[in-house]
Amino acid sequence: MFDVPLNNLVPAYIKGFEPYIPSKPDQELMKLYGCDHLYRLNNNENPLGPPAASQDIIRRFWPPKSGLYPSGDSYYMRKRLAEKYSLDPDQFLFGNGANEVIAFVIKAFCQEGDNIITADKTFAVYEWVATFSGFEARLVPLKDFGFDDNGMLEGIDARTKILFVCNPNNPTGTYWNAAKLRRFLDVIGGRQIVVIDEAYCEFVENPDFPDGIKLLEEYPNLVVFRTFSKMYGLAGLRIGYLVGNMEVVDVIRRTCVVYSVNTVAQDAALAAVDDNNHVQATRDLIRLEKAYLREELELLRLQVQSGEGCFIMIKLPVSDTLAYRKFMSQGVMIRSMTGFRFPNWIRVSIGKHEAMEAFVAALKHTLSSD
Amino acid sequence: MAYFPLTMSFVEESAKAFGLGIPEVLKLRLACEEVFAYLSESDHNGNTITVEAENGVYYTGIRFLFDARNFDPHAFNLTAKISLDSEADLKQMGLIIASRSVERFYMLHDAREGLGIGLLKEKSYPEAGKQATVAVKPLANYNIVVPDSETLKLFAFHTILHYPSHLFPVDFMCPGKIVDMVASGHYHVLIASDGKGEVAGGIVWRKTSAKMIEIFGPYLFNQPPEYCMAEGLVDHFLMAVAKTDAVCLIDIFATPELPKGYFELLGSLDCFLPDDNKYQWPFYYRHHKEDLGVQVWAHPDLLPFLEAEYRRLVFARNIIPTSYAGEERPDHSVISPRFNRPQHLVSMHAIWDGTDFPDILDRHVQIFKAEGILNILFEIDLARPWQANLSPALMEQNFVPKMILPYAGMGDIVVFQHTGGIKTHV
Repeated sequence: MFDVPLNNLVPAYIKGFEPYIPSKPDQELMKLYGCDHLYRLNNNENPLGPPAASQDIIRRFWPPKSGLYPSGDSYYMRKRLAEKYSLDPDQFLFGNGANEVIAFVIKAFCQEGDNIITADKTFAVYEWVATFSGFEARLVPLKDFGFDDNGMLEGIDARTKILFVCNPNNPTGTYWNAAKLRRFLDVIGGRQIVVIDEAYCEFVENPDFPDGIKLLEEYPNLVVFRTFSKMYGLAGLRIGYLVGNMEVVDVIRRTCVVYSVNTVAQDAALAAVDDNNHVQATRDLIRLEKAYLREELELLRLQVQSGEGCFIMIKLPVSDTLAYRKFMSQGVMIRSMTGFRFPNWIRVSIGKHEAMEAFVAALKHTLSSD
Repeated sequence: MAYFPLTMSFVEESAKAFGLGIPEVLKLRLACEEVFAYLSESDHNGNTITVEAENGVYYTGIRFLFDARNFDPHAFNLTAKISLDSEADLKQMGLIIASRSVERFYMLHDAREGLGIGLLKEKSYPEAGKQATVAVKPLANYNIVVPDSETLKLFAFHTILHYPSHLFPVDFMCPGKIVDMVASGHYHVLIASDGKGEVAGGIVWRKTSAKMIEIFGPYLFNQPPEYCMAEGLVDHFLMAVAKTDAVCLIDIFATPELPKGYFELLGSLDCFLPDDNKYQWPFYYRHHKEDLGVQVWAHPDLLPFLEAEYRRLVFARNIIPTSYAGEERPDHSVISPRFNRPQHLVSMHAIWDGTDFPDILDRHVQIFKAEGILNILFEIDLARPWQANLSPALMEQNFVPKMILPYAGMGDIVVFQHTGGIKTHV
């Protein structure tokens, strides 16, 4: 057997990189923590699941179709979205979840010595992909839990290629309104690519929330990310997309992995895209349960960061990771936030009422047993 | 032995190039001479011995990698004695000399790298005197930053001035050494400063295993609690390590200023003092990531303790019972002690399994008692079944399981404390 000379083969930026280890399957976790049920409130999944039409597609999937490759570039999805937003189908690129399209953009524009700019406490994948690709990720501290536009602008230098803004931000729920986003794009003046990640945009009902897609014509350096994982409940099928100016997308397409979105995901997303009832029902449930949770948290006098999106952040008087274990032992899975650089904060996804009650009970028990 | 002069020249020139003083170079050379001679004489099959030199900034490390089926490491025990009448014993004398000539040695027994012996010789540094200094003023406005080397020395100096010696690493007694240890990556430090030369506090950490970070402090110099400097230091430290591969953090030398809400109490050890008093020595812990649960090995004798502690600490563990079943074991075990003189403490762990473990353990305890060491600990790593199997031998010799340190080794570590001295000192 050969000894692989890993020391010589592995680049330095990979050696220092921390692998992301996903949690074990529910059954394994329940066995380890000795509980007979598990409310998953850690991944901001839609408590209603996929829209009815998508569920029907999944149920009726014809198994022999598994033997055939999917549409390599999600042809019908692109066509449908182009109609919906009055754009060209070639302005859309699909990926195996929005995570994959992040990699497409970074690979398309960054070369050795380049950097990207984002916030220090946001969705970690922008930073991860840049770092494990050998590019610098410049992280600008949040200001009042929101992206700091001036801080990001000050961080730009000649090697900055992309600025990532998560709008609304996961995990704080803050967002840039249309005026602020326009100001930011105006200052950038097209010199860098600006990515607006709108993974949670369908949850926002405020009229001043900007629709990135509508800004594409004015700002050709803008790239918008969207996903079917959150509002459309298709996280398990992994399907997300980016949309941008034709020339920009043409560049990104060169790094795009085709065939990475499977047939069921494409069909289920196609069935979901026009289901406004599902969007409304989800919004209603999130609004109601978020209000219930806020009231309960107010009674417990805990610091809360609750903005847009289907989640709330809570600061605990105990270690968030200890809280995670105590919650798990009571059958409630939350996200501990130390890894997001928010020590002692947890993020809880909004679920159905039964799950929210279980969370509140587990929280009270955790605080009283400390 | 044809390569002896070449090897020694390599060792000596490397140590000089890496900054060791002449007395240290000579001691390292002596240790390497003994190890190389021992390995050369033990191997008659012409196998390769690889010699590597490492510049650790504050130390020079020499590592011997070799392939020897019958390597007997018992001379590395502190308790090893030789008889001048025995030829086999005389052969071991070189290894005894080697282990006593360096600050640290370790043994490697790894599927990828094979067998190895590592020797580490440190540079010598001047100790800081406790000369009078101007008191640090309370700083309402401060920044938390990585210090430069001069500020770092000032921080070390204030730490030894403001805190008892059992609350900071002994390395702090030599501020120049701390500068080199930070440069080598052995320690990391953040300080609270006004940016004009005033150092008001700080926090220190280091990686102690693949998964664990050990914290020291936080240290505050004349700072009132309302400035929340301790919380600020802990917050900044946690953000600095948030995306590293560490799984957990432990503070076993926590100052009274440690903000307890960030940590959980793993448990306490009885710490005995020479004046017949004792105090509770708390171990503070913080999991760094969401605990995904792991499997641990445990001898059945240890099961009741483990089950109760894992339940109390809410740790998800799949405990697999293990015990000896007549399989072949080496003759000689090796125990490595780590001393903490300010706390009159020694902590041991086994680095080599052998059938003579109970005897070697007993001899270590006798030596420590004779030296007046009041606190004797033994750590076993539950990721290694052979270590889990040492539990009955430990319990038979009055070692009691006291605490679990999750992920502190390859897996969870169980700390046993020797109770033999309790009657004398309570």
